[in-house]
Amino acid sequence: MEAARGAHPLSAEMPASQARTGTIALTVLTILTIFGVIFGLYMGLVRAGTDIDQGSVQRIFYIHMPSFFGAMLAFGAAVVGGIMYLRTRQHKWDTLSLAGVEIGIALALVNLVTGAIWARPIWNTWWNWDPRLTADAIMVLTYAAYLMLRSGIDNPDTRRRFAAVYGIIAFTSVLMVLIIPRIIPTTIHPVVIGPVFTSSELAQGGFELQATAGVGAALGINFIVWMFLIPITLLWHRIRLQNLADRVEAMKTEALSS
Amino acid sequence: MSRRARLMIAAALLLAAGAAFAQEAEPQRDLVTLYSHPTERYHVFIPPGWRDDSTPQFAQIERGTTQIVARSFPAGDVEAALAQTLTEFLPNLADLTPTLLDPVTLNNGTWQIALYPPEEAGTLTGFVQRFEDVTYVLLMFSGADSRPIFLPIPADGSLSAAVEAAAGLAGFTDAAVINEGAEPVEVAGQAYTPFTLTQGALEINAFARTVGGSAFVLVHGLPDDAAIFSIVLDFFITPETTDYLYLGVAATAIVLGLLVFSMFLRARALRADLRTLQQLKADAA
Repeated sequence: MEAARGAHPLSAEMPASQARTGTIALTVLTILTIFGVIFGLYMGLVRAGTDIDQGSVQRIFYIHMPSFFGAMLAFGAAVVGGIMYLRTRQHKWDTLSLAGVEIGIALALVNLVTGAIWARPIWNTWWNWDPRLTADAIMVLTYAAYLMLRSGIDNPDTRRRFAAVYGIIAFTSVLMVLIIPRIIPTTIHPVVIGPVFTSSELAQGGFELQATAGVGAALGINFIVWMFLIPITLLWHRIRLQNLADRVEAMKTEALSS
Repeated sequence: MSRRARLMIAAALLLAAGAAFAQEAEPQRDLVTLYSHPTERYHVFIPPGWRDDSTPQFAQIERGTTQIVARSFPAGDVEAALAQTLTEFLPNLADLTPTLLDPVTLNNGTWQIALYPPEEAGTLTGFVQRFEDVTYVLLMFSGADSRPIFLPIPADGSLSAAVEAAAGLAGFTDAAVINEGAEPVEVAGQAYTPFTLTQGALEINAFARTVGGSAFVLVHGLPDDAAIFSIVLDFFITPETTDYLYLGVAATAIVLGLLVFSMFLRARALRADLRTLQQLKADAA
């Protein structure tokens, strides 16, 4: 059935020259990402001034915030993949969805863990059930459930259809993380970017950066690295891995049927 | 990947970028003038109108005949830190021995006031805080004989009683408040209530305000010297949180490292499977 749709990994193999170009491009992107991470860390940990209220731990911010937006991009890719799969039933869109969720979970975990580590010296607790923190944890669990539920469905078509729908609906948990601190007045998690629609003074800029020079540059570079370079590079690698897995699976099926 | 697919991915990227950078301009906060020690992590507020003579080693500000210095000392006891500060900045008064008042806990730590005996040239008052085995000293010399004192507000909650108690600590043991001014005096952005006290024929002025459960009283001298209270209250120390930064970076490396390592292992296993399957296919052919 998949072969009829022109999406079978064996029948849809790229020409060798195109594959080689892709490999070169991915290699270049990977090297660029590695250098980007190193440069971003240098800017955040060395060049940017120290926040005089919070001390060095404030520098986690250069990873914490951009990694959330990196996760958002990856989860967004899962939504695109899900919509396109439901429309076209092409296997590659499901692959994009799966890759998006896996990479998104990793980046969301980075966001969650760095946030908890930052909170320990600043809020004097690793964790509290603040609405935004709770929404963030729910988001990670929602996507972790995606992977578990997906692996529990044997029929490939059912699995992909379910994953597509789940991946689209799960994105509401990402939106909740963005919306909650803007509308709930009791949140203590500050809104750093974008408008606020609540009267909470803490949400309205409680996280002030009283750092010296280099903060904007460090934040900008780390945004590029964590929001674009890392998720796109990892997505690409994960898609290639899935293509390889599908190819092996197809060969196994072929070997068993012959 | 088709052109349409690429367009969809590009649209998703733009959507995410738009969400991240959809910023509204936030109003710029007024920046206060601060002295920040380059290595000792303490910061001293410099009130408007005060001359800043600070160096990288210590903070030093002046206004008229009043001079305030701030220094830090690793470990050491309070008396030793005070003595060293005095020796460095006012060596001609180095022989003076202070009387230490009971510690008072404020928002930024527990402070102890050191009252030196009055000298002909002026009065000397020290403020000391210990934090993470470092002693921080603020020493104020007032040529106008100002005596800044903060103390817990007495049980009756009256500022007048606090002023009389502060005057007693400053050496005016029999002073009594005879007048509480209606018009507050503003110093360093804070309003102080003026008081007049008498001790026999001697008339003493004072300026006071409450902060939480404490009364800040400037006994005698010029109201401008009450700026020391703002300096003490705004004094802050950057916490040492570098270990948490390292922990955060390590946690990030572990999470992403595990992902990359798992992808590497999966890819290696799949390639091995692929080679085996290709071999089987070739053997079958």
